[in-house]
Amino acid sequence: MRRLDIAIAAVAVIGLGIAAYLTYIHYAGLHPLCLASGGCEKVQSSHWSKLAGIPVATIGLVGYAGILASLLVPGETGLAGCALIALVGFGFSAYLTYVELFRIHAVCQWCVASAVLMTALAALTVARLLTADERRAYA
Amino acid sequence: MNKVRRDRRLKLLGTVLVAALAVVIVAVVASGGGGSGGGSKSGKIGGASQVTARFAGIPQNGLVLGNPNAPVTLVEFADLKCPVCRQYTLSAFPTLVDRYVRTGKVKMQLELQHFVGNQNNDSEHAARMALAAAHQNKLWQFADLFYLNQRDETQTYVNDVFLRRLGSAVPGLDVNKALAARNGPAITQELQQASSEFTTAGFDGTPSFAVGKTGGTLSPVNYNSFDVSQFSGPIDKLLGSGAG
Repeated sequence: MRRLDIAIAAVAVIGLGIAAYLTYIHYAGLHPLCLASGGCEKVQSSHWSKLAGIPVATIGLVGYAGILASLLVPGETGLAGCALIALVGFGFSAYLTYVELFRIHAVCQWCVASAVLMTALAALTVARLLTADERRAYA
Repeated sequence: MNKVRRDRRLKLLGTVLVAALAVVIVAVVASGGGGSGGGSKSGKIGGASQVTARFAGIPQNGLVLGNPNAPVTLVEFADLKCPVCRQYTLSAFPTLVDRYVRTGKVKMQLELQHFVGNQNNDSEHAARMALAAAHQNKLWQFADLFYLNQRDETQTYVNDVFLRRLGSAVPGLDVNKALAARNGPAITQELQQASSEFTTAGFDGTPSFAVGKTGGTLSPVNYNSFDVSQFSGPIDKLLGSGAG
């Protein structure tokens, strides 16, 4: 396995853990552990915390799982799929960070952590798409 | 990497970028592009009967709701265009009113801020009209009705037509009188005082709350959610410690 694959898998597993935690507390009705007073709760209870009725954390969970799964898909389809999911995650995370800062006026550290991970994944998966060798791309 | 493959990968990356951008745009639009509150964009005001029932029989004087001699005071710093303030008003607030204000144990004070979604001074327009309603002891009905009809905070919608419709749905509010008074020096001073108290209390976001024995020092409410227990806990503690 190439170094980039390992790096992507490692980052995606961390993201998966964060998304799983946020999804769990959402459905369990618990409050997220948060350093800033009320920040996570404000974000989690805002109407931006759901997309078409689905918690954003759950969508993130699916996204991270999708990135991990796409690592197993051979050829350029796998490379492109992995990059696509990561870039979508990056773009939507950027939007949600804007919403936190300028609309909700509260910051959730878990969301920021996920946004940072998605940024890293976007860079890594694009690099992988551009540099993967023929054998990897057509395996 | 040979040139042919590099070109092919760059084309593939371009396709992926376009596809990702399209998906993100759809997702942002699906999220409401910031979404909207509970307000009707048709201009129709909803929730008037609900608001009337909520405050029926509860004394009100200016910014204060409830028994003026209540042993505990809960001050709320809020912005009428703030969607999170709306969430509090729709979740914990009604229960707190029924459990503590209606029974005379707690009085609530509303200190309106005007910095959320304040494009074109929209937030300030809302606060000014609410304070004008306070001069007629109708602040809480007006604020509650505003939240029920709140729209996307990034939109500019608090115009005279909206305020007139909203005010007309508050029984007993002289809308013309309120509209005439809202830009007066008294209300300007009250707005400045509310901002000053917010800053002095050390708050940096809305909604923020302070609670304490009436006439004593108030302490911030460090809430983690808008569950009633987040507020009833400190209130019960104060009531149990001989606040009245």
